Amino acid sequence: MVVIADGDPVTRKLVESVVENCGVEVAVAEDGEEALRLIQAHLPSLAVLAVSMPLRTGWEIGKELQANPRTSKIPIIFLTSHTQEKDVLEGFLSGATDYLFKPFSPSDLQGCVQAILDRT
Amino acid sequence: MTALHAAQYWALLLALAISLALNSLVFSAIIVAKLVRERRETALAALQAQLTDLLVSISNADETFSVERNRVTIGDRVILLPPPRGLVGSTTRELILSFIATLKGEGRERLTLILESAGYVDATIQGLKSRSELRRARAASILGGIGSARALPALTERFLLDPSQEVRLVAAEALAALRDIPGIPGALLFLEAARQPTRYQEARIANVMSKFGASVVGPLEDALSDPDARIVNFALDVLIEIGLVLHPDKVIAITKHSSAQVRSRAIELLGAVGRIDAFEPVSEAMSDSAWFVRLNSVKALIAMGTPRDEAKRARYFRALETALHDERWAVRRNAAAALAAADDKGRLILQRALTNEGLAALHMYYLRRGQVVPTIT
Repeated sequence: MVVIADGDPVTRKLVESVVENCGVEVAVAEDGEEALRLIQAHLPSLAVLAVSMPLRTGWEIGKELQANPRTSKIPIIFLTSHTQEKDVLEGFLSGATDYLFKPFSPSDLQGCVQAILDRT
Repeated sequence: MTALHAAQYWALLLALAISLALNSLVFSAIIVAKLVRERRETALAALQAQLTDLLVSISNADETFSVERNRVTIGDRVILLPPPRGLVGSTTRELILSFIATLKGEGRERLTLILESAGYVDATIQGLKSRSELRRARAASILGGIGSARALPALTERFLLDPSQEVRLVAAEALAALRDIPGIPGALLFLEAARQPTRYQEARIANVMSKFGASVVGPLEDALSDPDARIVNFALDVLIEIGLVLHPDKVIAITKHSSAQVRSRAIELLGAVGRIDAFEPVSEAMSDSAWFVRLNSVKALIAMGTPRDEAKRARYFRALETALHDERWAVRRNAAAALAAADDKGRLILQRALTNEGLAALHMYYLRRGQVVPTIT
């Protein structure tokens, strides 16, 4: 399973479609709290998270997952419009496996998701 | 008297009846308006849901796709887009725009093509001719978001000729969004900036210009010799944003400018582009009378890194050592950070300096951050 979380409905829908094309089950969250709950409940193979979300940021979720041995190995892709160098650094410090910028190409995202799923 | 009472009675009854009738009329109108609004919202929500599914499929480059006027075919599905008018038209356009803003690559190109083919781009271009300044600015902004080359002539015209400054600025931002398409020369944008009265608008134009990259560096460097310090500062802002200098001598020349702000920005630019050939003027700026020029001098030296040449190396460390005793805390702190990050010689200078009574505060700064200055063995 892959957990997707983004406050923007258009991005959620697009990412959901891309991940489903990889042939995996998807759980979708609209905010950070819901995302964390889904991840902790399902221990997915991957989480695709926005950085700016209501209730909790993607970075906060990443750090929380890292701190818990049950969830620390879950790969995370941040998909975000925070494109500055310090943002990317913060993303990787929060446990990112990959860090993609918006606007994004669906085929790039699909390649990235597939590569991580193949590894896990 | 009795007749008068009767007339008053009937007048009262009549007024009551009229009032009741009016009330029921208003009430019915409210109910009807509410029903109409609900039906319209339901219809719009249905349209949005249908369109969202379609747009997700269109964004997927693997699906076959064609468009003819407002008829869009994706795989084996066909949808007729509504005309680009009214609430339905604007809802459709907004939804497609939100997809365009999220996507790049083929999916985005397809969506732009749909808006062109179904008449949305032309309808928005018409909006550029509106009498309302607000509508013209909105149309320009939407066209920037759509990213259609078809809008280029109309946007360029608004940028150059619109009587409203705000519309000219939004048109410039839209043109910058279309920067992949050869458009107006960068120098024109610069002239436009000179007509902007506020710092905020200048900053927006600077942002626009920086997106044109190397093509505007030449005109900006020429502007560094402008007699108006405001123009020079503006040109420096954009050059710092672009991070490129083709003729460093033009920047070095203004490190002696009468305006401290210009000197400071010039030093910042030389540091930002890491020109080691600008080492002399940058290190000289360490003795500038304005503290923020000295601060930028330290930061520029950090950005340039420790020189390999022995003579320059000695001057580099001497400049930073002087900065350690600067009257301004920010200058001292940055100089300390530069020395700590340099090689053993730098750290030795810092360690020696920190034992001086006058630098106790700096020492405290390091201790508070848990960064003890390394001991040289």
